[in-house]
Amino acid sequence: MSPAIANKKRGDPAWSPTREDHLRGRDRLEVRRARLAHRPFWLLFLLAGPGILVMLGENDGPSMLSYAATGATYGIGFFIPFILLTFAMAFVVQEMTVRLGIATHRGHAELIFDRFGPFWGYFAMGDLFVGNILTLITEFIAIRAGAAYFGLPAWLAVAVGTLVALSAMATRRYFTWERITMALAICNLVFVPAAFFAHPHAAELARALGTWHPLPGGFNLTFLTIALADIGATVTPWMIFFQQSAVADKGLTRDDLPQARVDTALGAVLAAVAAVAAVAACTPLFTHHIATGSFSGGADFATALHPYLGSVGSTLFALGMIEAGIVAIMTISTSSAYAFGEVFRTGRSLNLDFPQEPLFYLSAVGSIVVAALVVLIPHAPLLAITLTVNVIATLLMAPALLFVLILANDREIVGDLANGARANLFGGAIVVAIAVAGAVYGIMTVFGRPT
Amino acid sequence: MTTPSDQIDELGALEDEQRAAVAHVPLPRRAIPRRIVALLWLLRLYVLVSVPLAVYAFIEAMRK
Repeated sequence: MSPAIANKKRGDPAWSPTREDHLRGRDRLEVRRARLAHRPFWLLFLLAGPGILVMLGENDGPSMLSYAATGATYGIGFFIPFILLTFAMAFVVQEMTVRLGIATHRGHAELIFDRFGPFWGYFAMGDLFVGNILTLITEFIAIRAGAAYFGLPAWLAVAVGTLVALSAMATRRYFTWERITMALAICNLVFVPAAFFAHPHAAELARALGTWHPLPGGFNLTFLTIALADIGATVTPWMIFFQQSAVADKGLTRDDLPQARVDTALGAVLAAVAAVAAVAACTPLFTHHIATGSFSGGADFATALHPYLGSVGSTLFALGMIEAGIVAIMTISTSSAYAFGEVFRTGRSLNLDFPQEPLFYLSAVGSIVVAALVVLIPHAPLLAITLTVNVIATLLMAPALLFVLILANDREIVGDLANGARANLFGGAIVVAIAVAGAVYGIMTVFGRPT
Repeated sequence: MTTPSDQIDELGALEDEQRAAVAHVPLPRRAIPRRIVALLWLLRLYVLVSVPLAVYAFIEAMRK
């Protein structure tokens, strides 16, 4: 269609529609038809995506290793309700990014730069890019570890992970990329059947949920490291940037807010189920006093679980590690690309063509390739790296959350979608809780209580 | 195959603010109150202290 026809339709003589406009418009047309036809489930299917992807994407390699270490170190007890609480926290935070994306049609990095200026913008971007590169390294660790269980060499595992992530992006269509990634992300629930092979007791689970007990060993540095790693397994800076940009890229509007909230809640529930399943699957290691300190990754967990889960259960666990890593590579590299595009005012949509905005895609490809090369370094302490990266992600979360809170209260840009008192109370409490947990971790690290 | 009338429908389904050209226009800078600036600095210092501590803890654990 010629720009003139489009401009006449839009009543705007200067508008020249882009490929991004056409593809987003096509998706919006489907949504409009579903809404007019009163097909609520089809409408939800069309509008779901960013929430499910961000929550299941965060059930990534390091997260599943953290949950595995939690189950192996503490069994079923305090950490079961604690993990559910962290997903409630994640929902509170991510719901704010949904409102920000819907109200402004812009990504998070862009809003920080526009509203706070480049000084604070570059700090926020520094946190994001450092966090993303570190996390991508651990995703490849997870893929490598899962593949090692099947005897596959590290280079092959890393190459397959890279190829899958880049292939989805090569579709140059947001909706297609989203559906491919969602199809893979749902496979995160493979940890549920794996957990059944561990024969968890329902009464034990119910008791843990009701009493937050037992907590063997009490409060020490190990407890704090696992707690911080589990928080970092659920709420991290890339999630904020990814979901807001994805909401804008998908083209969600105010009418879509209820479905976007359901999408986010559904993602949180699915991810929480998979997380608790991973803890339950590794509980036999706790029961049989198997030391996991020297484990180098998911393959060691899967191998150690073999006598207790059987070959099917441990195979499912290893497959889950590979899936977790691949999906996270797809979502985290996309969050880097969105942020890069927003900060440097280049393209910021998966609906863009490669020759049109090569920098957008190259920023994602670059981060994937760097992480893939680092993880091929031999004899690296992979589990320790993974837990430390989760802790660092948690430490970076407090300032990222503060930006979200301030922006979600910025009525000039979000209008009536601004935070209410309850959202501010919960959001503020999460910032304080994460900052205090990090501070206590720092004090205990320096002044060394025994673990 | 997408016809011209389909394309008009597609573009008509977009809200004005969703058009790439509009969404790419920068928003005005906001005045940040001093207490917010203080909080931002506080958390920045927190990150600058705590992240090296996490790295230190990792290195110590490796040396043991």
